[in-house]
Amino acid sequence: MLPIAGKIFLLVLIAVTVYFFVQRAKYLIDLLKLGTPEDRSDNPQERWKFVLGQVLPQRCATKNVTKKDLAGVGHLLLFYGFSVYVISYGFHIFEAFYDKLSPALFGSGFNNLFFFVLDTAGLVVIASIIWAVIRRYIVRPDRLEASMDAGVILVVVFCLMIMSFSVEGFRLLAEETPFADWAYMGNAFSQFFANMGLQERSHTLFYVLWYLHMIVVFGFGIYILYSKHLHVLAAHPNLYFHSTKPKGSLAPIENMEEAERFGASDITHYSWKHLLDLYACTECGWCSENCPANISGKALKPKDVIHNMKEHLLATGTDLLAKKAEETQADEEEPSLVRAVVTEDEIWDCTNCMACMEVCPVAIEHVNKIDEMRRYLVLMESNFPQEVQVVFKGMETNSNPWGIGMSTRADWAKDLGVKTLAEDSDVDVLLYVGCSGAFDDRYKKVSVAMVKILQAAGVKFGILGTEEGCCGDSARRIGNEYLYWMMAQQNIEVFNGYNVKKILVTCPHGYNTLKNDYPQFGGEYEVIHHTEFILDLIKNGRLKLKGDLAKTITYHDSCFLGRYNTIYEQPREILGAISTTNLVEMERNRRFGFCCGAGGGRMWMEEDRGEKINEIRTEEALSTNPDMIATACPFCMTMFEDGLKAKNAEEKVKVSDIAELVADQLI
Amino acid sequence: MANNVLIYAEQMGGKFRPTAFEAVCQGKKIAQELGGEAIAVGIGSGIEDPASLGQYGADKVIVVDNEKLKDFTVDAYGKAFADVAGNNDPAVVLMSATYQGKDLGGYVSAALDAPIAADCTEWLVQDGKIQVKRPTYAGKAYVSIGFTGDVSVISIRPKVFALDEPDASKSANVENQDAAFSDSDFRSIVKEIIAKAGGKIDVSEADIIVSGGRGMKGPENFNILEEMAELLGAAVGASRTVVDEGWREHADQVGQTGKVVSPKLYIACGISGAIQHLAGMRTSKCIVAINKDPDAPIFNIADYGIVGDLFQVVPAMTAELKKVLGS
Amino acid sequence: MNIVVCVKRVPDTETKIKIGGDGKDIDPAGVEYVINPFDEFAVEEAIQIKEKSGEGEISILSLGTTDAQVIMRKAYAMGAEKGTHLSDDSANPDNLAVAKSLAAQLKEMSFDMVLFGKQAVDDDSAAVAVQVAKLLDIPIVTRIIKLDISDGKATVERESDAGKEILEVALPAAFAAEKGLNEPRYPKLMDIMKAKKKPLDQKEAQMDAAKMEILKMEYPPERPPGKIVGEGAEAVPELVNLLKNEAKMI
Repeated sequence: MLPIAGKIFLLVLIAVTVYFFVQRAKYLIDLLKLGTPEDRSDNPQERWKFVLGQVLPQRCATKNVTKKDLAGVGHLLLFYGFSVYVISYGFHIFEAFYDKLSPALFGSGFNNLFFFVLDTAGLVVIASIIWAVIRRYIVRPDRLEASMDAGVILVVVFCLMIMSFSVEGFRLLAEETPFADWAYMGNAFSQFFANMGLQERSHTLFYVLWYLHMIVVFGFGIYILYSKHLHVLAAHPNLYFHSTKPKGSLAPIENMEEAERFGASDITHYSWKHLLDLYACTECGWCSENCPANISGKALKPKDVIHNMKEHLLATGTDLLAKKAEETQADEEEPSLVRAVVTEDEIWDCTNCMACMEVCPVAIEHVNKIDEMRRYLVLMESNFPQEVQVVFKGMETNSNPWGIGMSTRADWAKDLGVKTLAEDSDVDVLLYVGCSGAFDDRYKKVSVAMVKILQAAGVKFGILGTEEGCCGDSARRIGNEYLYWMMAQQNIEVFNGYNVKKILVTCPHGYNTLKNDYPQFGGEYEVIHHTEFILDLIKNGRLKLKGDLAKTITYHDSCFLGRYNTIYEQPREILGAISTTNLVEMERNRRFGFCCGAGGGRMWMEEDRGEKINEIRTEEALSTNPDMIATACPFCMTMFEDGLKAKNAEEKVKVSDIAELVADQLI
Repeated sequence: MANNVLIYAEQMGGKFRPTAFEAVCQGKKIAQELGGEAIAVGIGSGIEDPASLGQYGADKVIVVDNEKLKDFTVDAYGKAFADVAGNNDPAVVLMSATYQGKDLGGYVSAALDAPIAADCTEWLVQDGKIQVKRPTYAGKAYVSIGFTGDVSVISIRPKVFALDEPDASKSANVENQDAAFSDSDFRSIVKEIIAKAGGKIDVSEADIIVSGGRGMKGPENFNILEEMAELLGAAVGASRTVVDEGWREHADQVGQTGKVVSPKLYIACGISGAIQHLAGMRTSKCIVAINKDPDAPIFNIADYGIVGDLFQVVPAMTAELKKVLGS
Repeated sequence: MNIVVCVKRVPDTETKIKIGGDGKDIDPAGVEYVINPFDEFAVEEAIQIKEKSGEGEISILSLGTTDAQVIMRKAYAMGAEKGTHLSDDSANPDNLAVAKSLAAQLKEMSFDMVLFGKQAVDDDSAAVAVQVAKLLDIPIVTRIIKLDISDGKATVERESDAGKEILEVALPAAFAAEKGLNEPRYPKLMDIMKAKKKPLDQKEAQMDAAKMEILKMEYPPERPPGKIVGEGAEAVPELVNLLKNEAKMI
């Protein structure tokens, strides 16, 4: 218990801290309110489960632990260790007023346990800090910045531990304490101080250090709100308010006819959740480290986008709040975010692969932010890579990105004995082949293979033929939400006209958008990717397969199949069922899969900076020494075929779709 | 009763062009069926030997020769031609569907209050009236047209009608006429003509394109394509991979992100036919593919193909073309 | 600078052409209609001229069924302010009658320039622009690939058999756009929405009786399917022979 003066000092300290803390917190919350409304109040139970499930076992940090990068373990230790300390501060402050409390409440055994745990936690924290300092300042991985902010935090936390042990040390030196043996670190410090001859002044030094320690604790508490350590407070609500929509889903634009604005060009065009994302960022850099654009030397580094948006929000916050108060609707000529804070190169570099979001510990939605800016560029400025215009025109007029006459959309199925729904709509499943499956000579072979498989299994299916329309995924991902909406409406009308219930899709982009996006427009169907479907057929014994494929195969996870829809094992199981050899896996597989480079509409854009993403991935595939690369996506297939040609390996290594491999194995 | 055929005989630099002879030849045949005269009209400055049109069948040649008519403008030439037409009461007004012919046709049609059937590929005379067939929808459909007015204005597609051998014994009467020009006929003035530079033909303008892909294996090998191209008066195109590798310039790139072309003849050498390339040349009238891979998608769209090593086939083609074209 | 741009609704060039029941016209079922691509260059050029000079009005003129208005709205979305639809369901094949109808309307409008596309990709006659100019008694240059205006005069560039021509033309005048004149813009969504509200006048077209009639429409003779002529250099003489005599390409 402190003397009266001490108690008053402590009270004043607390009051001052609370004052500054609340000021800053209010400011930060007011900035969040600048964002547009968004309803994330659904599913509270699931949300609680999620946030607790991520934070308590520190899944947020450990999910990305690999042999090369154990930092997640470090964070887990630091988190538990420091959490103990935070709890201990509460006890210490209480004890400052009522030192009789703890033995009275919990018995003397409590003190023993308390200090034992505390000292151990302190050691753990110190060890993690030392590990962190070595990583950040000596090893220097790309994703970590040796920033002032990080330095301050590491130093302060370290000092807090030393101070805490010192406080214990002086206390043990100053008076007989029953728990001295349990507070082993304090004990060690007290020995050290005794050797230094500080026994005489231990009483005074105890109090001095006690106050100092508290000042630093409270100071740090405020500092949190001004640094990247804000994540300590923002990460939890951010995880709570994570998106419960399908992974990577983009929101439709409400009321396009009357809307004054499309997409985001200023920071206030984003919802409060997007702004909360910026606070929650820990600057761990995992997103940038896994981003194919960054890895291939492009302008886009997801962490920088988030960081720059955050800095911009904080820097212009006061102005923005003032404008809001005056209700000035200034029609700014130039956007304040697009180009000024996030460059057009960064915006177009993104392949929408979601590697960033997959590894983000605090559920930040990077891709959605970029796609909102794309919507602004496309719909408001008509400002997009020039080569995309002919793709839009092709989709508008002939419902495919190549602009090939749509009357030829069913030619691939000639002579296959396939009926269109117009001829016979009484089918169990609609086979939707998509634009690549209908028009790309290479991928038509996959459509044909799929038909063979369906016919061999006796599945009652039909196609739409010339009534099939482009799924619109590329239009949506490039930002032309209007064009996408028109195409989606068209398809939904046709599907509903035939009372379609189940759709089998041979392209992950078509699959993803039909399954996860079409419900936004009233199109609800059971949508299945061909790898899921084929595996089902195999498991139900409906296909007679030779099972003698003896090639060394490596399988590439398509982003829109894998990260977007968690379909990782089904294609592998299929390959297992038809091969005599085991798969060789690339280092970056499954949720860490490296994008082929064609997603996000980039299939249609020129890649004129840095290395080619598809060549990087092809190299990786070739490093497994395969005979064959297996894919389940027309874009991936194109990227690999181009990549193999670029590496002069197209004779040695072939690219095949899962469906083709299975069709070849039919008895 | 009007049964004459008035024929525009196009000249360049005072000399009649081959299309003029084609027009006169057909004009004569039509006139014969109508029982009238074939009257050729030459408009320009310093027109040489108008009487020679008689060798192709012209019964009469009317010449409007005026210094102001050195360069073609539709306003001035149209006025001259329309005046001649007004004085000669034709049943049919005929020209070759060249750049000039297309312009003139519209003008004369309005001047004589008679619609025009342009770019015709066939004609016949039935019940004393001419009927024609012409392509529409870029040649995807042909319409047969009959005329119900007094005058039929038609233009014929160049190089479709065979040219008869000229009869050197024939010569036509030449009549010089003055056109009553006023200033308003010269509201368009040709300020400058930049003659076609000898050198590279732009792929987007070429009638024939010889194109190379990855199969060319290197920039140094494009000379075999350039040889063939020179022989054919063709442009040399490139697929996207070739441009990406830096073997050829981007201006030569044919494809969805390069140039979309629609030449008469497209010869693809060592190009597999990936869909992005096809998007750039699919509408070519005639496509020839040379590739050593019989499964290359380009063969699905080619009219003629040779499966083989382009390094043997292309030089063989150049040699054969030299023989056939007599170069 | 007031500019009138004439536009036509035509089938997209990728359309598979099917001849309809009466054997004289195409079957419109399943056909996607677009603004004539050459007219699009004309619209874009008009808008660029206006953007450069900062004043003037761009009007769109189109003759056809009510469906033509959809095409006119596309031109509006690119930046035209208003337009007139000459309503006509007759699909008159007589190009001069069409030209007269357009000219009659143009006579009631004030303009410094009338812009056309060089030809409509359905009819491919390339006649109407010149016919209209003659009827209006204004000069015309077709197939322009460059257009500059200064001091009430236009300087244009175009390709001819002689080479590249540069002409100077007194205004008011008419021009027909060729591919390469410009790159038509992709309209902003905002402008697409605004286009729905811009004024569009509909009137009955004054149409003369046709002096030309379609007797029938037919498909071109069947192109033989592509064939592999042979293998290697030995196949070359046959290939060259086919190119010369069958395809008549050389």
